[in-house]
Amino acid sequence: MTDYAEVPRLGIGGPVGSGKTALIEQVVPYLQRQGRQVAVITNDILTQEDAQRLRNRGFLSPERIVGVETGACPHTVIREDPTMNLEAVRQLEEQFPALDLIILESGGDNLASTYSPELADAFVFVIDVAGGDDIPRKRGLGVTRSDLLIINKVDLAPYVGANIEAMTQDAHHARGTRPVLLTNCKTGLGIQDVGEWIERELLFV
Amino acid sequence: MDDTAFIAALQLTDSFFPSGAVTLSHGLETFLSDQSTAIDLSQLLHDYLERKIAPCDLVAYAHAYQAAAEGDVERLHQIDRYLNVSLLPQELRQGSVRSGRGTLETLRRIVEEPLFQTFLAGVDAGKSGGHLPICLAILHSIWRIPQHRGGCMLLYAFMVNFLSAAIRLGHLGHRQAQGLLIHFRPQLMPLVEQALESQLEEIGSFVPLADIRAMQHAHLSVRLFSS
Repeated sequence: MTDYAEVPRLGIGGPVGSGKTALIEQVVPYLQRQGRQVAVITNDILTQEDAQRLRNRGFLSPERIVGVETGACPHTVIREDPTMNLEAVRQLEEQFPALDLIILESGGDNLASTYSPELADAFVFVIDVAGGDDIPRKRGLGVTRSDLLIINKVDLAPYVGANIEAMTQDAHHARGTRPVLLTNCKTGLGIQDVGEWIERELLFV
Repeated sequence: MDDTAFIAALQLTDSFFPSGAVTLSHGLETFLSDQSTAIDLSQLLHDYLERKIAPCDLVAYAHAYQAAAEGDVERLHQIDRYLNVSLLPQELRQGSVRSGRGTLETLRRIVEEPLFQTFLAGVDAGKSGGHLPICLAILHSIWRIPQHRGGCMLLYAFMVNFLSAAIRLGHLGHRQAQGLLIHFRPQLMPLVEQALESQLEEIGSFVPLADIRAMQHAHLSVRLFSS
């Protein structure tokens, strides 16, 4: 058996362009302000694209951001065969024994994507108002099974004709007691709520 | 091979088995990204099998199977290290270790046989990396899959992985892939038999262009695969 403790792992999934990387750009600095040590594993088609974007932001040292290629199957590497992501987790745990949290960002995927429970302890699904306010009604597994559903880009609702109230109501209807939060990851709106949820659910604060 | 061993063989060869192979293209992504060169995929696969997988991975597998049958864990680590220095392109070396290591991790809490657990402890301690052919040899031996069948499984799994990558890269249709698998069937057993007769010191591959392509892969700006 390996002698390191397993670090809590949070998966972030959602369709292309919904704001997964933007969420990380906001929530990681929030967690760091609470004294948390975080590392990020990104899965993307352009494997270095998201990792580079995060590195350029400068809030995480480059060695704490790892890119894992998906072989054109973003859902496979977080669900049926998370081997390479688990290898990246293992290496980060060995390299940074004091980590409090590892965030795994999926490549943009469809509404049915979920994380293997053996890869992520909890997963967040990010959708946005511009992707269509009927997404919660479609009840994809990402919407119904995620531990936290985030509806992002709430500022764009008037410009794309999205009804946020109906969208939120549909999401609650589809998810029962599972939480739904609204964010604008460009301005930081709602980020504290997300950060507090992560601390409560994964870090047991 | 008894029925239980046959079922074990199905489980290990099925792409449903999580080994991370879905992320590997063995340099194929670099070949196909260069649109100025026409690629004969069948010829390329033939070269990979005959000059790389069979004389390198498969020879290591054959010797590891023998060592596993004798319960010689130190020899397994030695062969593992030997294979490591025989794989020149970094990404191919890493892919082989990550797949092997992933296979070990998948079965860490499931397979209790002392040989498996002792080898795993050795890999944890850094005695060797845990290349996929070595890990498979141990499992095949434990689960009584005959060596020549196991060698055939290794070649077949490579073909499936290679052709599957070609499909996902948009270079091959699903029917063409099945046709190639049928086409290559008669070529596998002779390669296995040859590998089983080779000395460990003879291990080595000669696919210079494929190796160069695999090395260039690390510098591709757009990558779907980790090799």
